[in-house]
Amino acid sequence: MTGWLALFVLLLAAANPATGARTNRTGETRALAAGIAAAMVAIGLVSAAAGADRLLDAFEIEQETARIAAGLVLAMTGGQAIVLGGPLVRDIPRDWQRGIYPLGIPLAVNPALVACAVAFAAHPDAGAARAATLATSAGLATAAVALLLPPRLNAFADALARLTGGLAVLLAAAMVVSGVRDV
Amino acid sequence: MVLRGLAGTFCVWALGAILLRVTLVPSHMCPDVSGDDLRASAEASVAWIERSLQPDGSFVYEYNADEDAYSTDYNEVRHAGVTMSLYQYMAETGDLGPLEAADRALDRALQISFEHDNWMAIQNPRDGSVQLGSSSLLLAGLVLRRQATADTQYDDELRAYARFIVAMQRPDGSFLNYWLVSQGYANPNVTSKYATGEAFWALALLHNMFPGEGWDVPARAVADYLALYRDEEEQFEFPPWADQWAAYGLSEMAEWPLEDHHIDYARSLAERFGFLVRVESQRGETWLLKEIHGPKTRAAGHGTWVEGLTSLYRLSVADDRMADLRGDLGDRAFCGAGMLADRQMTATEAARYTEPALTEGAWITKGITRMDDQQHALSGLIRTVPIVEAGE
Repeated sequence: MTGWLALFVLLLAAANPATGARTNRTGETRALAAGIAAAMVAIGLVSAAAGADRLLDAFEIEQETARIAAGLVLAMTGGQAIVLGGPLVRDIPRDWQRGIYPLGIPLAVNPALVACAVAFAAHPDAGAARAATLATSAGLATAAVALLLPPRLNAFADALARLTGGLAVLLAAAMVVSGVRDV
Repeated sequence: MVLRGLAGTFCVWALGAILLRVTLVPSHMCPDVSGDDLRASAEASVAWIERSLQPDGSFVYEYNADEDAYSTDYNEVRHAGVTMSLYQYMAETGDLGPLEAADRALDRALQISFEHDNWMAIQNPRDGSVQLGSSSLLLAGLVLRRQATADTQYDDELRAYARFIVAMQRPDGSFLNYWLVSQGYANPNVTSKYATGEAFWALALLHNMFPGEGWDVPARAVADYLALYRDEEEQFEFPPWADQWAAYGLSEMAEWPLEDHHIDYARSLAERFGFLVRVESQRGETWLLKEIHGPKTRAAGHGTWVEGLTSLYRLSVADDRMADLRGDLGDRAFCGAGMLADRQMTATEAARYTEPALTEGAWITKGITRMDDQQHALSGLIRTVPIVEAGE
């Protein structure tokens, strides 16, 4: 789960990029909104990964326990995606501000992605650089979907988001087991 | 609109984080202790065992500090285990201070031993039963006594107990738990989840003490059984059974060397002991933590995890296939031993009780301490000292 590909798949499931389709609108602010969300992804996830060790030290949490906790968060958000298609959002602005809310937070930067970035940044076999790179890439995929997916494919994106939620639940179980089984 | 959305989102996140923190992810509380602290804690435990020694060579079995009441029960396996822990302390530290007390307890065990054919075994004086575990732990104690003192006076007894252990072994490497004195054979229907590992460790120790005598053959057989079949045979719900005796035995076999399936088993034990210590470190005194994480484990259980971790740590030093776990094993042993030292009854705390001599240096759970609380804690503590001093 800590190799580049396996970790990317896990973080992609945590990001659930298809949820980005919830904000896609045609129009001139589309690129700006996606750009803002991308910036929030980069700042938020790189900071989370870089500060993971200090964060866990401050809260006196072992990295194995952080992985179990992140697995639980991933399971919850995955379950939410299965039922609702993603995080609960409402009152989506029509202008560039939707890049902050809801595309930036809570779609591209969501609790499962942040928790997984922190947990794997602290994992000695993954590390902060790998976790930051892959979590940021996964988060950017959400912004990319918001930028590039034609609105007529929104129904397809919704189905994909629910399927990804299912995958997230499975991977969450594997994370919890891996955290439990670590020394 | 944006601010309202963000505020709502952050509120939900914060609520979730707080909920997670107070329920499933509380702090890991690993007291920061030094090697000297652990040694002092072990010495206080030794002192409790010495004070609890009775004129007939038995120990105070169980003491209810809250009610100032003594249990009338006794357990010969635990008697042998406590005696062994004193010899283990001596072998680990070179401090022969507890030798007199340990030898008095040993004399009692020798006096109640039963002889048959060419072997001897401890016989419970209360019910006449002959149980494998007590003889195994006494044999381990005798080997450790010999390591500590270089005294050879018990070599005949030591081999006689070992022959009993071998007589109790089945062809698949497992052991039967009771010898039926009146029938003259072992009860074919009773095994023990504890005794198999105890016998394994005793035989492995014995082979290392007398390498040319063939004790490695039954030891290897039981090692295979433990690694490959025991959890299934005994139908443990969540394997592997957290068997510190198996960990002791595997660490004794480190230079034989171990086969890959033994290492796989050792790694699974490491995972189990590590998890147990992590969970224990999250237990606290608040109502919510007790409800969710359960009460703190008594030292007789908690100490076994530290014993297991220290044994596997030693294996990780000797065998490269375990080397990647060395740091984590050291950390968990340190955490587990630190918690033990932190939870031990100090002289000041003991002074509040009617019988301070039986509370100081003890680990008390729900008002009660039993002799194996001190045994397992002592073993875990004294074997963690070298890990701390090595800077792991």
